[in-house]
Amino acid sequence: MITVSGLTKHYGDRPAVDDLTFSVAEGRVTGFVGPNGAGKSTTMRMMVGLTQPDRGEVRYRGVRYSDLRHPARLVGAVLDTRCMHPGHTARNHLRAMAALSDIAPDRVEAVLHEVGLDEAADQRTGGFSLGMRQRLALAGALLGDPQVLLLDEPSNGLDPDGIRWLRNHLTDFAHRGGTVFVSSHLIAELAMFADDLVVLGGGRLLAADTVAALTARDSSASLEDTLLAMTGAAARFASA
Amino acid sequence: MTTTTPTIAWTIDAPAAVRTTRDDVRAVPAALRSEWIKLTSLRANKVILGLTAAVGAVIAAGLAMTNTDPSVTASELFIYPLPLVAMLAAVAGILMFTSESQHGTLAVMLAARPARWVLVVAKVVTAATVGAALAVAGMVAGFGGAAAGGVELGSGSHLASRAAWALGYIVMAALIGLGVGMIVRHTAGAITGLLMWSFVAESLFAPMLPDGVRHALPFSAGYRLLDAGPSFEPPVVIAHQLARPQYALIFGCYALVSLAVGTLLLYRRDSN
Repeated sequence: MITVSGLTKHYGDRPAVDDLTFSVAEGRVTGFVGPNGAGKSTTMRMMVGLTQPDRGEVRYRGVRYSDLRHPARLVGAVLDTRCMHPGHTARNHLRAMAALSDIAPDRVEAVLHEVGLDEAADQRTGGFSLGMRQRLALAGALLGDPQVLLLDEPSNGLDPDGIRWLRNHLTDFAHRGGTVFVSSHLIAELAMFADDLVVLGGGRLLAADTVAALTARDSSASLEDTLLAMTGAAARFASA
Repeated sequence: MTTTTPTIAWTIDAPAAVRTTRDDVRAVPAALRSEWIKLTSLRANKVILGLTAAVGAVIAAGLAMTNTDPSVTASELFIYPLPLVAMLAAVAGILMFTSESQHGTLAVMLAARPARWVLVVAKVVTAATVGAALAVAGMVAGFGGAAAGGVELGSGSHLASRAAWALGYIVMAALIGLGVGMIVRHTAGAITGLLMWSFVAESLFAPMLPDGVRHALPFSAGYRLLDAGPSFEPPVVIAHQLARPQYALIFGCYALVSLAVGTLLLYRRDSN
């Protein structure tokens, strides 16, 4: 289980994340939703030690991320699809990642195949489409054969086939005992495969429950309408 | 496709899953392997290496061809292109960090290795290796260019010593570049700042400073490791000349301070 306790982060006087507490269960897909600026990305960055919280902490079965012996073998994260040098080929990008985390080089070929980038493996990433970059970022997350996947807007740039592949992949991953924590603006898409939802608004936790329980809160409205009403940002979601 | 058999089991319950300092030390070779892959798979690094050899050969050959002093030999001329080689090494050092920061791969590295000093050690060793490679390329090409330009090869008695000091100069320039890159985190800003400082600011400020102090400016001190000869300098400057080990200490201190500040910022800043 991942436990997020009292996580707080301010940028100047502005609170980006305010006293956030929730948990992410093993063997389930947990969606992380909220409007732009709600603090989702900041939270996810704090979950892997890239942003230092002002207060609070994140623990993976009681161990802080920064204390993990092999973080990449426990947590695979995709927080930004730009995280690759345009001059590197896909294969070399993954080889460097694998070497850094002491992961066997043969995992590189395995994950390239898994995300469908075998044929583009020797192309420089500078020429990749957004969808290809997204797949390569996912390949990087899968490289350590992790037990947890943290994905920030992973379906951005993917075509419908890619989105379906991702959905199936994450569902299968969770069914096999893995933990999936995935943020998305696409509430309807997320509702199709998430088991639980964590709803964020203005940096604060608005709800954390199963999809079924959240849907049952208002039987006359869709889950999307319920969440939009909750975040009070319907206009922003509608225009997205 | 879907299987319901739980096959992904969390493995962090065991105490062995918690990182120790020993694990971090063992991670250094892994970080070095990763740096090596990045270094050798980027075209830009090969271009810088080629450019270094070309700069060394062309400048030394040009000096040899226009030389009218028969006592000047290739074993002296090969050092003249090295200030430019040092700048290329500093730029390579800058790029080693700023390209990671600007392309988001720094975040990938920091997530993979939370012990940030491991990454710093790997970067420092790699930058020093790059500096050494550029130094060797520049010196060999400079020597070859001077010989091709028509001067005598000269005696080898001082060649090894000169080459060793020049190697130190260029390696330290690469480390200063890495440190500046870690501090500035922006390629154009770091390169412009470094070039402006070395080629403009030091030249402008040096005459305004007390004679004993101007030697302490970083690239003035670094340049003197080459022992290119004081023939163009006024007697008052020559009177305050320090020994090469002292200049090496001064230049090395700049490298150390820039790396220390860069490391401190790496720990304190959120990654891009």
